[in-house]
Amino acid sequence: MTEPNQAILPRGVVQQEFQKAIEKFRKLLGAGNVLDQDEQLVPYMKIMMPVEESRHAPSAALIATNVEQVQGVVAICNEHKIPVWTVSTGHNLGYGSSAPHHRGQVILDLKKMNKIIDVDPELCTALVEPGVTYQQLVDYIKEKGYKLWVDPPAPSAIVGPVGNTLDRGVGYTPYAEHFLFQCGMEVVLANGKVLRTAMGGVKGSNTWQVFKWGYGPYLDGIFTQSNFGIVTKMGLWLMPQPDVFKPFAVKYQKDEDIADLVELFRPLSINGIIPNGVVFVGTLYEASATVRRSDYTTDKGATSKETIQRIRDERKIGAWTVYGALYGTQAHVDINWKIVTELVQESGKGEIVTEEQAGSDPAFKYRADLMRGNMTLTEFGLYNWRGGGGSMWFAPVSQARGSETLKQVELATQILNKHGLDYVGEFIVTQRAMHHIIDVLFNRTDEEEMKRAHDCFAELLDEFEKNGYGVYRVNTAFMNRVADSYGPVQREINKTLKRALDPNNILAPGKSGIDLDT
Amino acid sequence: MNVSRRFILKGIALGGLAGMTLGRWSLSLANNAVSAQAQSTLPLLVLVSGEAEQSAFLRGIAAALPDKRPWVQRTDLGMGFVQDFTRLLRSGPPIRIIGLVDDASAALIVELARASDARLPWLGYHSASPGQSRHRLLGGQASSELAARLDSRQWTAILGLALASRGSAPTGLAPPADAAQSPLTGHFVSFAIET
Repeated sequence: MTEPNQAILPRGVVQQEFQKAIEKFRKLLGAGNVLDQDEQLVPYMKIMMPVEESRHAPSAALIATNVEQVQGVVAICNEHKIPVWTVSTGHNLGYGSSAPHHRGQVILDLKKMNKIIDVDPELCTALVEPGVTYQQLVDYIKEKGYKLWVDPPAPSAIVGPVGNTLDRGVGYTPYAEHFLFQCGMEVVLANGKVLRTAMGGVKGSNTWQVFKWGYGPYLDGIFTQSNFGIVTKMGLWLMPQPDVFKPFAVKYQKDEDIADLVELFRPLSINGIIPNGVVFVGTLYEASATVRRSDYTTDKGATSKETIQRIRDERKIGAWTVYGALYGTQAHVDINWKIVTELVQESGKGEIVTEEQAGSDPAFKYRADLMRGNMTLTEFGLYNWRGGGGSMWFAPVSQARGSETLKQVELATQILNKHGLDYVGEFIVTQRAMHHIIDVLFNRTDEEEMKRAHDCFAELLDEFEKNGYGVYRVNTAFMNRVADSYGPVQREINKTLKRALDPNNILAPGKSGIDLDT
Repeated sequence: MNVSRRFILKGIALGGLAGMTLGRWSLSLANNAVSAQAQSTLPLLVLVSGEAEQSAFLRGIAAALPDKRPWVQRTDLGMGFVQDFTRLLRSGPPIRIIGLVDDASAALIVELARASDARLPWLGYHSASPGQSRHRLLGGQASSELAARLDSRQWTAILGLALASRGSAPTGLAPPADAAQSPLTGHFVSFAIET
């Protein structure tokens, strides 16, 4: 239950001081861009983590429309020691949504800084503000008639490249590793100065969006998954539209097939035959496009092996379904398709499914759309698998080896099932590394299940860490815990940087476990 | 994208829809509705999905608004719905949107509402199994008062009535449970959005 937001204050700030700051925000941004009423703030409180909303309730939300306003917000925050949690489009679902790291932080919402500043159709680059969505970028490219593709993460249309890249998110085309394809940033620092990274610092340079490194220490990285500045512009590279795009699936029937699959497909990833991430989708993840758990059982607890087998049999879903795509000229794709099909046939298992054979299969269409950079929201179907609004991504990274797969699946399944939850997971091989993506889905209306989900996630982190795995990203409730996984020296260097760049600790304290007050 | 072309109810058999207008919702209809009602109240759009379409939620709304004909729209996860709903939120006249939908639709709708600067006076999560329902509510004072009343077999009707009347109608006005109608089971999210 929410309480009157007057009762919610930033950590260490008294009501009188907060009101002074709010008045200054109103003068700077206009009253309509300072939100402090319950019904204005509830949209920022829809979290999917297994904790009370009150722990992440904001005291206010500010909507800035230009860089000068962001500088003004930072100045007021410094003066009154107001912590500000910045969001771009704020749709970081499964990682904390738009809610702040901790109660009372003021949200700085950059959704209205949504200008597409430049798209170069020859160099295939773009420069955008934080509020620009992938849908907006696609519409712009279409309107201009450019032959360029974007690479959205699964929530595609509603999210944007700046927020996703800064959280080091990934997509599904050959440009999937978003930070790799980022080039140049504009950052408002806590002291109010505006930094343009790399070539952006050179007067008269036209290379800000084409050369990542500039001169001296490479700075862009410290503004990702961090709280050292507020990014107000970002460059990215766009993929030239290939002549031919050929998505495909390969279905495998046995759980243990996953080990051989990774060995089979990794070389195709490393040598560029399959240039996008090869995705190995588990049964329940694949089923979520069309099936709800309640279609098969209303039993509490984890879904039984027998039920999962029934779903496989009745819905013709594999234990694992591999998705990849080929991109290039017709000749290029023809040669690579021959390599892929011969390799699968020689392996003696696996059923290849082409786009034509898949027909209207919604699961195939969904994956093909992702690999093509099309807008699709099918992944939201995951939230209906169990229902109840709880979702946390657990995403450990390992070497891309078959030997890494089964032991992870078994460990994760055992922990999830112990807590009455399901393994809903997939692996993504991107050349040498492999992301294991598990959606921990649970019912937020059931207090007891919330507690189980919380304990489950904590145990997943603990047990995977014991086996040498770290997650690449995590929701706000577990950021501090995950920062510990990466060791005390990393934590200390992050704190040292924070102290130097933001001595008043006003920028998103708690992000990635970086907070001068804890 | 033409909003009116997209916002179409496709053959839903809405048994409890006495007095409600099924069909397409469009910006022009919204404008007309505002003129007709002389701004005394906001026009109302009702969003439903899945089993909620057949529930007493709609009968509760009809009981709250016996003289009005709210529009009812089924939600989906298609890009057409997203684009049209966004346009309605951003470009249409002031409107009140209430709904009872599945978790996937709710996640999308609430995110779109926030992106469009809409207010969210009510957000509720509901889980119902035979003989038991659970409700988790966000939304200030009004939700506090309503929360206690939802612990009933008639929770969907009470919810519909309360959301349609903005909490002003006594829940005793909720239509009695229809013996022929199975209670709603599963997971749902209710909301009220105002632009």
